[in-house]
Amino acid sequence: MIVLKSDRELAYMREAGRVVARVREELVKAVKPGVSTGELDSLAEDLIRKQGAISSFKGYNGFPACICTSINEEVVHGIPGLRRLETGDIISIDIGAEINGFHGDAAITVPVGEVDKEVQRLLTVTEESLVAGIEKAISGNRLSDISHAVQSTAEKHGFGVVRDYVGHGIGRKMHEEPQVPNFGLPGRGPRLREGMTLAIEPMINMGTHEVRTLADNWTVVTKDNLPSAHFEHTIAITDRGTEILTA
Amino acid sequence: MSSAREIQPGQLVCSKSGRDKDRCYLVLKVIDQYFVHLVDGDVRKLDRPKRKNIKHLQVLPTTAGELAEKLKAGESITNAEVRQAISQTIGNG
Repeated sequence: MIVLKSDRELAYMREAGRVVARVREELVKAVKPGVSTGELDSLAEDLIRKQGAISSFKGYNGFPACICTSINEEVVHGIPGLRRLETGDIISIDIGAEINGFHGDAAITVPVGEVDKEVQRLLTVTEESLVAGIEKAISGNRLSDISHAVQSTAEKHGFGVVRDYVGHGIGRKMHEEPQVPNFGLPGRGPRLREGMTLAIEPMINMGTHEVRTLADNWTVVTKDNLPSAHFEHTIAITDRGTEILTA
Repeated sequence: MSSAREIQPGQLVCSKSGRDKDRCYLVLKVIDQYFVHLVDGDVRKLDRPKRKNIKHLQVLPTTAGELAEKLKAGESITNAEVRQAISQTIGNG
């Protein structure tokens, strides 16, 4: 069942989105060579707590940290730890926060210092595909119009779109219906309506779209060990158009 | 945090309804588009998997990586491995 949000609920979700956006802004500034992913996690924990929110991820089905940090070939769900960032790495940071019972969820991939040109192109295209997806998230469209926009943008540039993990509805729970795949034919799935809140999150690989999970049961990596990028926003479909809650 | 798209062997899931509500399992086999076989290595061992409707499951965003590869390759897994995979990630209350 897809839960439609009332104006009051949307106000709460805006607040959660703002918390996530602020944390993301600070974390992006903190990404430097030599910083460990664990340090980023404690910074995120502080920032989330200071705003009166709690992390949506910590303890979620046993996830041990406040943010997911996925470096280079890691696609999503990397667990922060002792690993230090090096120049030329890319790091995907995924943040979720809950305030007043509602969740916000966003992700960004940041280059550490100077990165390879092709890697930079991967980041640009992934962000473009997110924008293309969001543009299709308007009342009256079908869900898979979003999926198709993301896929065609990424594949036009020869990149692989991850199939096994998808975006999702979001609200009182972090993962609500519907699932928002990043691939598929347009004009399928439920019709988008005002009051829907979705987390749209393309995960784009430089090579194959295939992924596998590491022994920690969380970290998802690309099968060919080529880098992967991940951008995500929580959006709301309203009578005034599409609103990015985590901008 | 992205969610897992569809149920595959090795996927960790939680029961949403029934007498085993809130119990976590590993997907042993996907029977068809509606049903899966589940094991937890404890109450439901590999020789007596539980058949359950996918509708009554919450798919967790985590997969038992090594077990998923083994199941895919057709290798056998043990109850101890299943218990370990579940307790390591989520635990069974």
